[in-house]
Amino acid sequence: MIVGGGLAGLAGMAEVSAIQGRLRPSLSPGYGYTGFLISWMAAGHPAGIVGAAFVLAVITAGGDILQMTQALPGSVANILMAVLLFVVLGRSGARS
Amino acid sequence: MIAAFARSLVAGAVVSGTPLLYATLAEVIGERAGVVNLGLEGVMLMGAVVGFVTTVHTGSAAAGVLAAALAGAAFNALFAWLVVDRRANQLATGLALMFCGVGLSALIGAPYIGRPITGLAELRVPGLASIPVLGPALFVHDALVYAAVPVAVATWWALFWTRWGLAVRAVGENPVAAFAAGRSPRAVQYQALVLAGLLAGIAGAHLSIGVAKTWAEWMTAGRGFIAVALVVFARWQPLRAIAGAFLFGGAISLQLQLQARGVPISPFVLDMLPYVLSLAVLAAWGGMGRQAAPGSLGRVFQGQR
Repeated sequence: MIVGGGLAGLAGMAEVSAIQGRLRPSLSPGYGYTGFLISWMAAGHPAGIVGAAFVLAVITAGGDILQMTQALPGSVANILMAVLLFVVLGRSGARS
Repeated sequence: MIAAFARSLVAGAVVSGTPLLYATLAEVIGERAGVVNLGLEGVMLMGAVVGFVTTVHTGSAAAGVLAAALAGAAFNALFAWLVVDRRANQLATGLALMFCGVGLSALIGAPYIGRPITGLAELRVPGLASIPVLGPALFVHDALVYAAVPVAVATWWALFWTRWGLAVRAVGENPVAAFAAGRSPRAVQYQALVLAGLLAGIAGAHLSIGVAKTWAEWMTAGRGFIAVALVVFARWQPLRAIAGAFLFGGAISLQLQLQARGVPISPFVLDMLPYVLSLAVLAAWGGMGRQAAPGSLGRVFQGQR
């Protein structure tokens, strides 16, 4: 748990110092929840974490592009992410 | 001065506590049937946006509340299908449901941002509203506020004094035993989750139609998660949920009142106040809460249905 907390702190540090470059009150738009889902999708495999994180990062980045170019709220990308997760979740449950 | 502060504080506690109470009751019903729904936030958002859009187009707040309840039920039925029929992991599916609700409500609501509505009318209770201080604080509210406590009592009655409630609790404690006794865990969990969706939809509608009277993206602002925590505080008892919801509503109200009156405390510390309170309460009550939880909460029933 302590190592996990440390890693989560590093994630916040990366977002603040590398991406945003400043400290804002709402710098993590639900990344914590996404992280839970990624670790669940990866089922504890470190390599799976990289793969699942990349797929969800592509979707999130796609949402930002939609917001800039299509006059849609950026959170519509969440719909695609949720549908993807529903499929993965629905299939995994039936298999076990 | 003090009377005005007390009046705003109590009125604010009642208004903030009402959607929390509906949402907490929704989660209590679902968890009593053995299903944790972390997607309550998404269900509330769907209720809020569908209720608001319906109110804009029909001009009737009552139609909006009805549509919100139905939208919440339909959205929770999707969750029920995934966790009951597809046997998906409840925690992960709940979070995915939250993301789906956040995205879908933002998409539906985008053309309606900033549109004003009349919303739910404030009803004065004759006589009682004239009591000094407490009258205006407690008896000048919309119909959903007055209905909240009776709905909590009705939930308690349904869960503890009807055969249906007995089936719900039996499935939540031990679905194998309930199945052996001739109950269908699948049917009971579907019924509980659809009923929970109705209540969560109403909780969202109260935010958009009753309180804010406008739509904003992610307007529930974490209240769905607060409700999930309040279920533990309430020890899965609908009547204790009344106390929990209004206590937490009071903490939100206190924060807003202190901010509005320009008290020299950092606004970020004040933002933290309701959550510090809930963490402290959960820490103090943790041991007791575990024993009160339904026995099969969160487990996936693998047997026949």
